[in-house]
Amino acid sequence: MIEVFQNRGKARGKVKMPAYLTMAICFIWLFTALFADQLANELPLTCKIDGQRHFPAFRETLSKVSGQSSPRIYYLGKKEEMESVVRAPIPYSPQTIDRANAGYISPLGPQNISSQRYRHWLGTDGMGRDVLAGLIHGSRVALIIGLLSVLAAMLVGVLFGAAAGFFGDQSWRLNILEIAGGTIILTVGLYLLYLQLDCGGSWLYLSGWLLASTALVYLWSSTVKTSMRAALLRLGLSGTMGIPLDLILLRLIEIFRAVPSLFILLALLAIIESPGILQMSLIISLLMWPAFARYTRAEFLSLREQEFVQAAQLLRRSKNYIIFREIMPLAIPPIAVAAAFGVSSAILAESTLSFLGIGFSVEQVSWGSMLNEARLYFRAWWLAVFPGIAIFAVILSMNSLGDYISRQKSTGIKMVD
Amino acid sequence: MRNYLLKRVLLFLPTLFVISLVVFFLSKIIPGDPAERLTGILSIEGEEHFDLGAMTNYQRTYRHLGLDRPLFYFSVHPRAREAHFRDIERPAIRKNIKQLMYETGQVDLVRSYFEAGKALSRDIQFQLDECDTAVFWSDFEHQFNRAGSKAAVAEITNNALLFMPAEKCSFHPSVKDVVKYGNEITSAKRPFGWWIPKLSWHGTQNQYHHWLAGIFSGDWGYSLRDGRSVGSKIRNSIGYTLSISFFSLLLTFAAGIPLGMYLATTKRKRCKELLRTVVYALYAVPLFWLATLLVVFFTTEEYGKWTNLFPSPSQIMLHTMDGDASFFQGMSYLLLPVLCLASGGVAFVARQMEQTALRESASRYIAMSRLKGNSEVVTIWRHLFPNAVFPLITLLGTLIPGLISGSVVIEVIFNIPGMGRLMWDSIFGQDWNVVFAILFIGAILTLVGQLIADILYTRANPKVRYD
Repeated sequence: MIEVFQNRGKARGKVKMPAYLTMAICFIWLFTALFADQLANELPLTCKIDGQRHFPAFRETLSKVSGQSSPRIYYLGKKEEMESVVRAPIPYSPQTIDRANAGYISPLGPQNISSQRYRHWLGTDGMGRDVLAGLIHGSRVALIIGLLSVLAAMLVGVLFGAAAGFFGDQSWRLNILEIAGGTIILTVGLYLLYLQLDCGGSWLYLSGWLLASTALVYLWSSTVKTSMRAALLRLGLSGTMGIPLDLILLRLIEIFRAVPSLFILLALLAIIESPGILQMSLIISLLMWPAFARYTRAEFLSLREQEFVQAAQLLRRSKNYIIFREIMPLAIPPIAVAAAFGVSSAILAESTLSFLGIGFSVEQVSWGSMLNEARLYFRAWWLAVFPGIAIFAVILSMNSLGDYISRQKSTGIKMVD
Repeated sequence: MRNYLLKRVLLFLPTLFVISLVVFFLSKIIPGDPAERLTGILSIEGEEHFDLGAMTNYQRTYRHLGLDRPLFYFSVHPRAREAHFRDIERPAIRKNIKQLMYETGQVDLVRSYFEAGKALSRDIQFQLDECDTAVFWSDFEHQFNRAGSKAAVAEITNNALLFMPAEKCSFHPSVKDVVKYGNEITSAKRPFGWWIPKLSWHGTQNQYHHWLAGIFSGDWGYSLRDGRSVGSKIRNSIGYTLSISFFSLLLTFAAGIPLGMYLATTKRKRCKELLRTVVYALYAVPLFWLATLLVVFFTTEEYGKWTNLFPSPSQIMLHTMDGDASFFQGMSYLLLPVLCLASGGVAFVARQMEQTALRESASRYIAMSRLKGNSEVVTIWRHLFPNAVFPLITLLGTLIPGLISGSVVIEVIFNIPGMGRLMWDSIFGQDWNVVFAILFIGAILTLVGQLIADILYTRANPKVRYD
């Protein structure tokens, strides 16, 4: 599932999807993801309880954003006392169990409902949950997974790839003392971390120790660079060593390619019991960062030989300046292409995992988990068709977005030439 | 070139080493106990009272699988605790001992306490009837196994003093031992410097070494689930995967290359646009969705008689198990999976082919060929085609590992007992011997495939040189 992503960027054909279609899909996707709670909700949009006006569906969104407990149970208990109720367009939440319509009710056939307002437009699943409500809320899951995992993968991949591409194996040179001190500090930090975990300390310590030791390494290297330079020269300890960044990156990429992503996914998913959306995106991004690193590295490799970089070096611009201000702007378009394809492959990965039944816990509705149910009962074609169309449409639009950016990129480069 | 190859092959070794480490330690982190699974004892951790036979059986399996050995050649650990506690079978007790060692910092003392406790529980178990004692002693093992802190130890010691059995009672000496060590533990103070790291060397008697040695000597071990040898399991399933991948690869190239060439050279606009849209859509279709749709609509009679075109996935397993499927029957089983697997590939190859063909057709030798008066067929197939198709050949190298390891999704959906399915089942069944073997074969093939791809690339494009 992730491997597909590795080849994606290569196949940029001239085939176009109409731009309006791409835009339409993206907008619908964004809209349903943002307003999922208002579009499909068992709780009314607004109602009166004891003469006071309430906005249950909006309060639910608010509680999700602020991390408070959901007002769902409170309002479901007050169902009888509600007056002047305005319901959501789809009066079902994805987890609402409509017992009267349980057992795979077709969208075309008769349904056991009081009025057309309560119709299950896309049918129900075995437990009587509304498929359309699931689709709408699944779009939110897909959006968060796609964006989060690509952002995380980009952060690591782009930085590492840029450093490896720009410095290669030799040109990032550090003083020997700097390296020695840094290694010792990092080792001590890792040991302390291990100690914390072994004693049964919390994971909070982990990030704390890592941060602390990174800060110490940074402090050490800056001390060596500034205040100790003269002393070092006098002692004859001014020797430097190149850090083989490129070699390390290439080996890492090789390793990630050689170990099947399914194994890594299964192992990590087994360690983290019942992963949430955040954990899931981080796991997926762990598998995606090598691709970003590869693209960025290739781009930096070719760009660093260009004249404008040499000019900047002659002008004694700092390395940070050259990497982030001179080269990065030109490397952004290919990275953006990779990001667009990355979103689609992250969604694909998540839905494949949920489809195989190893993704989220059962309560979390996603497009893949809905498709999974289609395998249980073949007659329920609506469970096989609609979630699939949603995934397909989103992937299609992301791919064509990537194609679009890559075409822009080629014209952009021509202008620079 | 030769130097480059040598360097690449030499770089394989550290990569393979790191991969072996990653795979090994990931498998160790995954919760679950293979010995537990093999003996059928459910949750050693939760339950305290086992019958003796089951426990002995478990212990024997535990040792037989080598789980009592340390994980790696060495370990770094704080001075306050031992390097590992793998000689103790039960995870709960392991955790308690570690906790106590951290609290007291006395490695030997905690060990002797636990030895004494174990001896006492054994004595009680065998000799409880002989002397008249308190209920506390019949429940002693249960309490002792939960002693994971100084406070708990103090409580046990107090109770033991309170219900001290008579001198004549056969387990009196053991009780004295427990009380003695227990008192020492409760009064022990953690010495300064308990956190100082200590390096313990375990030698070659460790799990990683045994596993690696097994792999290199060709002894892949036995499946932890059904006791069959790993080699035979892989041999059984590799046939299905190979045939599916072979046919789908064949279909991919046989359909994708002409399609791409057609798209690049045809003058019929309508047809081209239509085909391109289809190819573009096919490229984005999720594999598992396509497979699900095909299974849902075309393998049953749910949607009318004529839609039952293919055998249903549940039959495949049955027939292949019996081995009575004829050649044509076998082919009909493979048809759907092959179609699914090839669909994405066809789109990819067609797009790639179209692109390279378009790029090549702009070059001068094509114009030259036309100027010479060659017919369009000769120009396209003699001059354009060989140059355009060459980059695709390099793809073959990267496809090699996929040929063997198969597609998990397809094999799970269509119920094909191939390599992907075997891997899937083995990971869930914690059948590590099988998982390791498949992963290792896959890793080596991936590395070799990449090398082949690089070599083919230099052959296809003489401008590229590795020095």
